[in-house]
Amino acid sequence: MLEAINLSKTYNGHTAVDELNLSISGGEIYCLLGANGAGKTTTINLFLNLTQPSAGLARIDGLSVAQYSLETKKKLTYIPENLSLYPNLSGIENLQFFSGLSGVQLTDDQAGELLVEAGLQGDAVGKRVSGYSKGMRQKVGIALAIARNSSVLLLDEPTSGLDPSASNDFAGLLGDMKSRGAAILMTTHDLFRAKETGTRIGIMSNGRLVEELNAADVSHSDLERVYLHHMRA
Amino acid sequence: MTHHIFSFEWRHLKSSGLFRITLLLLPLLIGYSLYLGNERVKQQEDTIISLRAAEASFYEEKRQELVAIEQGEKEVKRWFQDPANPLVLSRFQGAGKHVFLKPKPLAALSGGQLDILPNYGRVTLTTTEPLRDNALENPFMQMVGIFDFAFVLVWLIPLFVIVLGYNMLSAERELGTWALLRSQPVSINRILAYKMLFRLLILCGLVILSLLLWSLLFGISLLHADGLALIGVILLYIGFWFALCALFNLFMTSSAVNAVGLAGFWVLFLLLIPSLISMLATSLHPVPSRALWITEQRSIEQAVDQENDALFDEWITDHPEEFVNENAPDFYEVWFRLLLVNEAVENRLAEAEQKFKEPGERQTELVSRLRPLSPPMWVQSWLERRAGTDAQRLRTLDHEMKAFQQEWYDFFVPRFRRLEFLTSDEYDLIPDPGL
Repeated sequence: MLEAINLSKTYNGHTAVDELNLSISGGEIYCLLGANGAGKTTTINLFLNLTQPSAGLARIDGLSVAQYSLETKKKLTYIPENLSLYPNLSGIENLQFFSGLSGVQLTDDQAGELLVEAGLQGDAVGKRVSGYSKGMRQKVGIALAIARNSSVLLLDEPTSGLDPSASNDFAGLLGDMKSRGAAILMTTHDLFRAKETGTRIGIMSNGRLVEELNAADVSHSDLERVYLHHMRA
Repeated sequence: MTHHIFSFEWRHLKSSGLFRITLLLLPLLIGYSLYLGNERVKQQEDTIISLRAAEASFYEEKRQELVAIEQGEKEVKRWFQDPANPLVLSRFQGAGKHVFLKPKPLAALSGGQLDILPNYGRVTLTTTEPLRDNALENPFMQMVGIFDFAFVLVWLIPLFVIVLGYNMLSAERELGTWALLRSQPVSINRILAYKMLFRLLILCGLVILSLLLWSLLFGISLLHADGLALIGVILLYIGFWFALCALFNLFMTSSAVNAVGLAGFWVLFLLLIPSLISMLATSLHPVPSRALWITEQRSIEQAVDQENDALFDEWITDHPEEFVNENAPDFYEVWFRLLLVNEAVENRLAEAEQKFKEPGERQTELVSRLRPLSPPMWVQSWLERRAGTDAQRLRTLDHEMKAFQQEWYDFFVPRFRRLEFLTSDEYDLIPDPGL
């Protein structure tokens, strides 16, 4: 479970995140929409403890991120917009390395199976990552989440730059992770994908969460209207 | 965790072309330098053996000849062929002994100043002559210097360290893996420290292992205090360059900036600082011109030569018992005077030499005081000292030759002055400098 309680972050007088209150339960995909600079990535960074909150609390499964940084990181998998892996290692080796850092040791077969489960082609798993597309690298990230049995997924614009087919595949993988009980926070600019994938949708503007919707309760056009309304406000 | 990070760092290194080149080239360079060093030491040892054998053979032949003369089997035809004559045994063709600076156990690792300063010389009654195996050496080779382990360690190994360390952390940022690493449940500092430590261990291991294996192959013993200290110095030196790489990486600069900056430090420590120290030493303590010294030598020789009669008269007056007046052979007075002149010249030269030597000694002192400014200079100097090829030790050859010449003089000259010729039994008393 992910929680933000009056979470704020101020950089040099500029408020990037302003009293954010958020709660994402297991089995839920929360899509955070907003223009560039709205505070989406800062929110992710606060949950990763890559930056310290100016006020408030970020919690993962009840543990304060700032206080229990390494413990909370054990529970999550982070997939940045452009997941970079070691290009001279294969998909299997990359997965083994990063899962090993959280104490999950995988054999070649286990790692290969996880990568296939995450949607990679069987013949690609042993190849060097330097030949992987962005979508393939994102799948390694998902395989890492499966391997670590992460209860939390933090995704920072993971579908940006993916072609529609790859984006659709990725959405399917998120659905799988959701059904495994993971709490997923995904920032995105893609209203369509947010509506299709998300359970709940939040809209951020100038660091504040200005709107929160149930994805099932809004149509694509309503979502677009609400979003543009907040962006122009 | 350590094993996990080490094993993946090994996979990274294995797939790196630069590392594969290092893995191949570094042991070969170390091996080649040790091979050349070992050959150089063997040559020195062979020279010692052959010259000692030639000396022994010369004196044994003379002894046999003298035994034959003593038994009436042979006659002395000319005075300068008489094997009982102290002059024949101490000054003439083939007479004299060699003084050696024996190679130390680590001599194969550093040629040091051997290309400039000799390590053995011949002593006779009137000369101390430093000798070189390569007297007619190609001047180009002298300019290039000796390719030895010290060169590989001091000059080349830092380049390998830079190649393996310049982008230890910057590559993570440039690849973009930094972000993923920071989200892992292990401290990023710990991950990066292990990655750096592994590279350090690999490089140190490669150098030490190569050194040990090649040494074993060439029969160079490192199982002594100096050998163990050498391993410590190698670790410290590689550690120094590695720390420099780590510092560059910690300042969050790009790999390109790191590479250029580290190459700049290599130039600074290996070329600029030594050149500046040398310039400082020569300008603060300039050594008088060699031509001046030669002119001084000649004027001393001429002055003493003009005092020949006075010197002789003074000696006869002071030591009448040391001069044979009656029935002396023709050569006696000529050589008596010559030895007196030679002794006077040597004494006055020693006084005059001091003013030419002093600036050089001050230069050496200043350089050794400033040496810690450049760790490569310090390591080079340390290795030369332990190998016994440093200028300070090689310059002791002159003192050792002079000391032995005094012993030689004290044995032969009083006998000559009293015209006491040696018997074959007294050959065993002829001084020997030993090893």
